[in-house]
Amino acid sequence: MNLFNISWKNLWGRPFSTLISLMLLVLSVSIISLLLLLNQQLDQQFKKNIKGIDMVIGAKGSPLQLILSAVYHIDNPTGNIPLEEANRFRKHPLVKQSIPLAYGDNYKGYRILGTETTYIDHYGGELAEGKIWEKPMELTIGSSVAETMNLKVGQEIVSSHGLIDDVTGHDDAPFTIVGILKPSGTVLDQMMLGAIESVWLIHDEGHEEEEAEEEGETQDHEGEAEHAEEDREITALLITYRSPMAMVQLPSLINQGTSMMAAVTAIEVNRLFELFAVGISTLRAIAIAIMVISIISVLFSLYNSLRDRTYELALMRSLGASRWRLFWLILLEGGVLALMGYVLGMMVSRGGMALIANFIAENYRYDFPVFEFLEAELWLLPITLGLGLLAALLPAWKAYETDISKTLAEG
Amino acid sequence: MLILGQSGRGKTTLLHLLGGLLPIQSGEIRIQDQALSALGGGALDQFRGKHIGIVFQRAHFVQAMSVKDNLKLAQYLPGVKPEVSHIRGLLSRLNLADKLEQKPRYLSVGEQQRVAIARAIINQPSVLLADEPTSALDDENCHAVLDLLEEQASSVGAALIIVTHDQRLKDRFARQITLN
Repeated sequence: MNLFNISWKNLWGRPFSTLISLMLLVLSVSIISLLLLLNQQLDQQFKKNIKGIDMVIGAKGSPLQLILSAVYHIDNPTGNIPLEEANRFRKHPLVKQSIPLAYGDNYKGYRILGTETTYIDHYGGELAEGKIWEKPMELTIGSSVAETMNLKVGQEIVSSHGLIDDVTGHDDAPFTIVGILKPSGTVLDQMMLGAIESVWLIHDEGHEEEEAEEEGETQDHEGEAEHAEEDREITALLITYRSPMAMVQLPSLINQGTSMMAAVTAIEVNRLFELFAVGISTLRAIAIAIMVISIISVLFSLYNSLRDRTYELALMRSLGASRWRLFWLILLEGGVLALMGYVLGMMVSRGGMALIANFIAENYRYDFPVFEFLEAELWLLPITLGLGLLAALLPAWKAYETDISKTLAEG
Repeated sequence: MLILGQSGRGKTTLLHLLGGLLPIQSGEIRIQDQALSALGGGALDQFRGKHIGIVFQRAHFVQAMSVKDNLKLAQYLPGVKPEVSHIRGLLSRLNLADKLEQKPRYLSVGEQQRVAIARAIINQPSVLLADEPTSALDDENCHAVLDLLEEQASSVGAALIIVTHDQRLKDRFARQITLN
């Protein structure tokens, strides 16, 4: 028997009010923790994948959409750009590195991206097995794709048109998987990569027979048919500047002098974060409000229980408990409640994170780590505990003040 | 010893003074050569828990705890090491062995009173104080409770002091004080 024991039993001696306080605490702790996790994940995912890419060149449209599609692969491309026009900027003296991207097909929702091997190098991808593609129709795939779709090196797959899994496929042009990458925590994990020529090839071959049904389809396939080599198209070009001068010159040069659009990643990502920030700060305000309510509920629960327990407290004094013992006892009840709220809240937020991660993995092919523990969450512990103790302070003081003789005489 | 007196004569006040529940304004109360007025705060609470057992008119318990835990509490609070074997022995002497794990509120009034007596003597006090222990009981139970109090007080060698206005008790005790 110890003080903790006694307060624990007292808490569960009035299960209803204890449960309500606990539920409110769990709700507020889990919302705050979930917000912290989401915020950190968004930040990390967005920053990790953007590193080193200063600008994206693509078809005119929404610059944010261009960044989302070409860097994060979560939106549709704005369209295609002529290879010839894009190539002019690949050789521009202010451009340090440029990676072409060509979208065409998907395999069960995973995007097949035609690019160059520098794309893998850019994200620091390493081979887990097999090799990097050497000729068209060979694919090197990310670790998540391989795991989720259970794909092995040497396997042949048939792709579908566009970026969304549908029934129209190219039965005649199977891809071969030649390599699988190690997990890198970047977009590489969910990509299927191959030579840019692969994308051109399947559409050149397949086009004639599909022309009829493809008419009126989206811009993705626009005009891919009867072209000769010189009017090949790509979807986007990822640019790394050679010097800060590029930042000043290149975007306006492209936006005003060509049919293409240049989207500056830093500007677009900041804009996106500003959009998120509104939602996140609203949720944060709600979480804080719930926290305040839960603390008030702890206070009321303890205070109310004292009214019924005045005699019990006086009795405990008569049995040998000092004033301070009773004070600590009530304080401990508040503390234990807060601690339980924190621990359960953390568990609930992990559960919520697992659901969100599952949703994102299914819809956007992104992997979110679920069981990461943040430093900010560590700070949430003393804050929750402190608030729980603060709420218990007034009831604890009342317990300290109990007039035993009077209470016992009134029996 | 019996302290008799009508309502409002200060019987309970006297009992609370004897039990160290009320501060003494003048005079002195000594229990086992210890002046209660010399003890302050926590030391007085601890002394009371160890050396003075109190049985109140109606039996009260910490409702969230079982009979066993209520008795353990009476040992733990003044700093005596709780011993379940001691509790078990005491309860079986009072025919309560099967009530060990029950919550006090599910016990009958008579059983509750017996548990309260067990709690008062668990630390082998030198003084056992009882406040109106019989006023709510019929004749038969009145004497059963008195027998029990006398028996248990003598089993631990405690002086028994009963405060009451119950005239039925008058003939049972040789030493009596009447407050007028």
